[in-house]
This record gives sequence, C-alpha cells and structure tokens, in this order.
Amino acid sequence: MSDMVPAVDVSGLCVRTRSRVLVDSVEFSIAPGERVGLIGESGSGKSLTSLAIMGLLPDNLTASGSVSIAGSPNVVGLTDKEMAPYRGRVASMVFQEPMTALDPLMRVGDQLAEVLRHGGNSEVSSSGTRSRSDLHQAVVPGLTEVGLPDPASAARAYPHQLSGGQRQRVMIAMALANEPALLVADEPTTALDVTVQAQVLDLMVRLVEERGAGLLFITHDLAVVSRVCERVLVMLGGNVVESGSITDVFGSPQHEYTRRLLAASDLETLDLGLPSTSAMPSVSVMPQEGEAPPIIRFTNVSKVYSRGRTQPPVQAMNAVSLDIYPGERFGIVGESGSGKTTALRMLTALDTPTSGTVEVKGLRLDLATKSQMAALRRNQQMVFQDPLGSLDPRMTIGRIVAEPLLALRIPKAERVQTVEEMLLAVGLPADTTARYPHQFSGGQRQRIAIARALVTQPSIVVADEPVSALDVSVRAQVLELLARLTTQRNLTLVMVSHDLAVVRHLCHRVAVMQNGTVVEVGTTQQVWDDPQHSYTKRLQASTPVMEIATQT
Amino acid sequence: MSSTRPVSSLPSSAATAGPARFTPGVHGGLIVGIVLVALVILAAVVSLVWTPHDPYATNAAIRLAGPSSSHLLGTDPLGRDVLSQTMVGARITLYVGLVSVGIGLVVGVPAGIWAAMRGGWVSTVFMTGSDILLAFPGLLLAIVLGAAFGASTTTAMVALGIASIPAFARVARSGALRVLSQDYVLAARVANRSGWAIARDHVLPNIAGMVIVQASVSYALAVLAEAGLSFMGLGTAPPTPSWGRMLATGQQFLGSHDYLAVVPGVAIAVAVLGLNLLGDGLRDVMDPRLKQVGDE
Repeated sequence: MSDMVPAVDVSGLCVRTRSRVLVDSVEFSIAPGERVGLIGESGSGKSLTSLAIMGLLPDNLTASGSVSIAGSPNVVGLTDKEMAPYRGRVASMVFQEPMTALDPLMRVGDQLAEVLRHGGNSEVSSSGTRSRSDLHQAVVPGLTEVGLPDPASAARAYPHQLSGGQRQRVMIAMALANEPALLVADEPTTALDVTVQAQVLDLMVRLVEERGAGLLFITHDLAVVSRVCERVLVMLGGNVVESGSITDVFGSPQHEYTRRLLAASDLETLDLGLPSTSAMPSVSVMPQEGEAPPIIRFTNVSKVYSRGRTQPPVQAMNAVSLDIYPGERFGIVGESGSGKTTALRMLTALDTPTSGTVEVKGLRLDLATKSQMAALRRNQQMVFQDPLGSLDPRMTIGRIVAEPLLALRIPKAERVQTVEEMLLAVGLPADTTARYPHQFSGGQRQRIAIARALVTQPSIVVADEPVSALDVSVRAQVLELLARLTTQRNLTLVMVSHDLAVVRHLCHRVAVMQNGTVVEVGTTQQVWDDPQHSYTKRLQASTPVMEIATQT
Repeated sequence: MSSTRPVSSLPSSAATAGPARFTPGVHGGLIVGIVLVALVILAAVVSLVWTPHDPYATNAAIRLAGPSSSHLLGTDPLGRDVLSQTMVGARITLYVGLVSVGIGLVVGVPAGIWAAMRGGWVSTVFMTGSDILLAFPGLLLAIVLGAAFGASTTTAMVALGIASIPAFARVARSGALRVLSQDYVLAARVANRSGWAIARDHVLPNIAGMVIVQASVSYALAVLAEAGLSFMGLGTAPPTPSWGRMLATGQQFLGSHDYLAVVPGVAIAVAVLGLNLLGDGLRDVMDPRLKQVGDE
C-alpha cells in the first residue's frame, strides 16, 4: 500500500479569510480505491476543504498548504487555467443539489458529451462533423452504467424531465466519465429520498470500487458514512479532531466531540418517554382506540391539484382516512410526493380537501365559522421545517413569538410576560426578545419556532419535518424538547417526516404514505419491527442506520 | 449558506451565536446621500426666509454678469441673481418629487400587494392593465394633461405620478409574491392573523427595501422630467424659477456664459445623486441582517 501513489495527499491545508482561519492545517491522504468520509456539522469547514482540493474556493478566501492529486505537483494556489487539466479528468466532484448542478437548458447527453470531449475522448472529440444523435450514442454507455432505465432517451432529455435520483445518477456519470483518480462527493444524497439515497449510495460505492478511484465523501450523516466509507475524518471548527477506520472511530471514539456527535446521532439512547423497546406494553402511554374519541379525524380525504389546461391534474391525496387520539404523538412518514405535506395543510386548514372531511375536536373544518376557526387555530399550532424561513427576518424574536397572541387581542403586558416564560421553557434566555433571527444558530431558531407554536397553550401541535434541517447534535436536543413539552402540556403532536428513524423515536403511532394513500398505520414499534406493506419494508430497509455499535 | 458563516453548534447555554455583527459600520454611501439631500432641503428652506437677492427682480444693467462678489453665481439674461433662483428652484424640485413619488407610492404599493395577495384572474387583469399604462410614456401623459388642464407644475407632476404607479405596483407585487411564499407567512396564517395584518407586519417591512430603491429612482426621474418639461415650457410656468427652465435658458448661452447651464445642471446632478445614494443606503441600513455593507 505504501508504494502506491495516493489518490490525493493533503498536508497543512489552511483556508482563511483576511481575518479568520476557517480550515486549519488539515492533513490526510486517500489511497486509490479507498473511501474516506469527512464528517462535521455546518461551519466545521468540511465543504471548504473539498472546495480547496478542487481549487474552487470563492474569491474572498485563500488557501495555503499542499494538495497533490494522484502524484501531481501541489495544486494549491493554481489559477483556473492551470487547474483545468486536473478538474474532471484527475479529480471530479458530485454536488448536493443535482438540479442546480446540471444546466437546465442543455440536454443531458450534450452535457455528458461535453465532459467527455474535455477529457479527450476520441469518440466525441472530432467534433463538428458529428451529429447530435452520434454524440448521444457515445454517452449511452456512461448512462447505462449508472443504471438509468432508458439511457438512450435519458440522453435526449432535459434535466427537469428526470427525477432527483436520476439527475444525481447523471451527475455521477459525468463525474466518472473521464476515469478520475479522485471523486469528491459533497452531501451527494442529502437532497434525495431515503429509498433513492440507498440506491445512489450503492451505485457510487460500486463504481468507485470498480475504477480503483479514491472517494472523499462529505456528509453530516454518520449513518451514511458508516455505510459508505472505510475511514473517517471528523472535523470541528476547521480542524480534523479525529481520524481512523470507521470501526475504531465509531466503536471507541477518542475525542470528546466525536463522542458527543455519536451520542447525538444515536437516537436509540434517547429517552423521549415512549414505551420502552424492551417490551413493556402494559404501561403504554399510548391512548387506546375507543378510550377517547379521536381529536383529529380524516374521512376519505382526497385532494386534486389542477395544473392548467396543458398538464394532467395531480392526485395529491387519495381517500385518506386517519384517526388521531388526544395526547398521542402521531407520525406521518413518506417520501416527496407521497401527500404527507398535503395532509398537513388540510389539517391546518391552509388548504381544503377536494372531497372527504377533516374533523378537529369534532368540528368539521369545511363547515367551521370564522370564530370557530379562530378558536381552533388558537388550539392548533405549527412548527416548520426550515427554522430560518419560518421566522420573519425583519422582526425581533419578541414580536415573532408574540404573533399568535396578537390575533387573540391579549394586552401588551401580559403578552410580554407570556413570551418570556415561553422562551425560558424552550431553553432560551429572556433577553432573546430584542434580537433578530439571523443572530441565532439553527437549533436555537427551531426552539424559537417551538416557543411561538406553544405560546397560545394549544392542545395540538403540527410539525413539518421539525429536525431535518438541523445538525445532528442539535437534532437530538430539539427532539427531546418536543417530547418533554408535549408530555408536560399533554399535547397531541402530529409530525410529518421523511425519516422513519426520527419518527420511530418520537411517535407512538405512525402512518406510512405513498403516492397519496396511506399504505400502513400502526404503532411505530410494530411498523418498524414488522412492516406489513412492501413499501414500508423498502423504506425501513433503506433508512440509514449506524452500522457500528457504539460503546457507551 | 455554506460553511462560510460558522455558528456555534452544540449550543450548551442558549443564544451564543455571535451578536458581533449587530453594530453596523458607517455606511459611506448613505452619509454622502444624506449630506447631498440635506443640502437641497437646506437651500429650499433658507430660500423661504432669505435669499442673497430678490430672485424675481430683473435688472437690465447687470444682465449676463459673470460670477462676482455681489452675485456669487452671476446673473441671467434678465439680470436676476442665479444663486437666489437656484435656491428657490430647490423648492420646486422637492415639491415635484414629493407629489409624483407620493402618488406612485400611495397607489402603487398597496395595489401591488393587493394583487399579490388576491391572486386569480382579477389580479391578472389588474396587472395587465398596469402593463398597458407602463407602456404609455409618462412625458406624453404629462403633455396631454398639460393641454387639458393647463400647464403647471402640479399637473405635470400628477401626470408623472400616475405614470409611475405601474412601476411601484410591479415592484410591490413581485416582492410580495416572494414574501408570501415564505414559511413565516404560513406561520402567521396558522396563528390566525388577518390578511391585512400579514400585509402590514410581514409583507410591507420585507419589501420596504425594494420600494425605497424604486422611490429614489422615481424621485430622481421626476426631477429630471420636471426639468425636461419646464425646458419644453410644459412644466413650471415663468417667472417661478425651476432648475429645468434655468437649464433651458442657460443652454442658449453655452460657450459664452457657461455658468448659466452649469449651475442648474450641477444642482440637478446633486439632487439626483443624493436621492439615489440615500435610497440604496436606507435599504441596507433597514435590513437587520446587515451582512457586509455593499454586499448583495
């Protein structure tokens, strides 16, 4: 192994702005055929490290140190022109968002042919004389290799005509087209659905292995790393704080941060007040059917969105019936397009069903008067996915949290008092009120959003992917907070998520949705341990789980 | 939002994420804008109580006298003091902008927000109508209204104001559409806030920056249009001094008495530049996120 030229050799790599060091003396080396994970949370410098290797840093940042790609001389500080022979040929990159990484106005085949031409491929380089269909012929093998169902027609397609997973496959085909020695993948599957993610990861591992290329895999998701990589580097505040084989680092972490990160991503150890997994059904907190009437009831709810005259309408929900009981935490799980968000919009009366009825506390939403609706809204609040987007950037935290109270005409002094109490309850200091959303971290913003949702003392809280935009370590804390507050205040929590693993740890019962229908409902334990529907089985199998047991 | 802005992860005690950015640096453009606009306002206010000479007094004996100690900026072909006329002209300039921008703001912005919130075919019809109005040149409208109601500063400015409504409506509508798609508006709807409250508390503050820039551009255009209309004799009627008509007079004497055109020309440039800088500066300062100044 020692006499092989490493796919990439990084030593003393620093990235800095004029005043601050963002990446500090990072050293590592990846052997050909080796898969190395680079993990860390937002702001840890993991993406900057990858950009520095590719020479793609933004202009206001400077890199120093040395990076050698497949035995090349140091590439740090090269101009774009000097860097050109390496990019795409010796080292290439796959980005997070495949939609923006592909040119929307260029056929997929043309984009792939361009990459091949850049790499000096003889089949496409004698340009000018060759027709478009010939070019597309030349790229078909590449598209076949990444498992596109119909490569010939995919070559003729524009990016928007492909699904997210297919687009990422095209990106991988482009990245590997010129047989690079190093592939850098920056959160390549974060934007994809779970079942698609599993396929794309498997594909990437296989192709990289076949080519003997080095893989640098950047992600925040420890479970994904444990599935893909052999070795892992942990970054914190611009430094690599720990590195080693997956088994070593995850099995017996040395650095305190790694331990904290592992503990936070291992939801198994989290006690969210659910009936324990080690079978104690007798003391189940979960309300039994028939005990109390359901607080929320969907009866045969369907929703059709029409999309103008040219396109067929979309059936977002199809005859969905659900009962949710008071005091329970109910999860709705599904992938994009499954109708889970539509269900949530129906429940919060932001949208009306095409047919069927939604009842909340025995009140049919479609028949509710204005004042009944107002009372209902006081009783039912919402937490959104993106904590920054759900907080008005021009408002102070005090005003944001007080907003639901405004609609209730509560006097100002009482408002201020309630808001401060609520902020304390979610673990934020009272002086938070004068500040603006951008001054807080992601986890703190989500706490603010939770404070706003609970400030009217509602009995139902509806959460839309409340932790999917958060860093791993913060995620556990926010889940704990949600669990604690729902228990303390005897709330009914309805949570929508794409992540079965998260729902499993927070919710009593879960409904699995696919293509607008509910395919399975049951206790989370039963659905996870013994899924009945084939789709649930697939979802369960695809959900990344840490493959190395941590020593606690 | 990549890793360029590290926030403290793992917030053990809450609220540790840097209050450092909060103190804004001195905004250079804003300061210059304030100074220039203040200069114009000062000239206008002072002219109400004092001018070096009577701006209307003609004196054939000193016609076209160049700058001197008694007439700092010289005199015009009728022997009137140019400095005094420029000071009084500042009043017209301010009035002109207030009327036309005021009409555009008061009508255009609510209309745009309404169209965005209302949606459907009504707003489509409304915006199409506004597009048609946009295609109609403001100066032409001013000429038509001038012919119908008699040429005066007010008619000209009402015409320009009406002509600027579509621009304000467009800006407000596109901004409002962006704001309305945000989760915080959804949150407000779930909190049962009325459409009016959402427009006032969320939409308006978040589009204010865009509207202010549009206002400063419109204001500058109005000043130029007034100058143009007066130049053609359709704006401010003599003998009231207006920078536009002073410029029109002055250009006849270019080559022999340059200062006659240069003085009002510089005055217009100062007012327009000042307003634009002021608008851009206000937009930046009003944004609590205050990234780097001058940063997009």
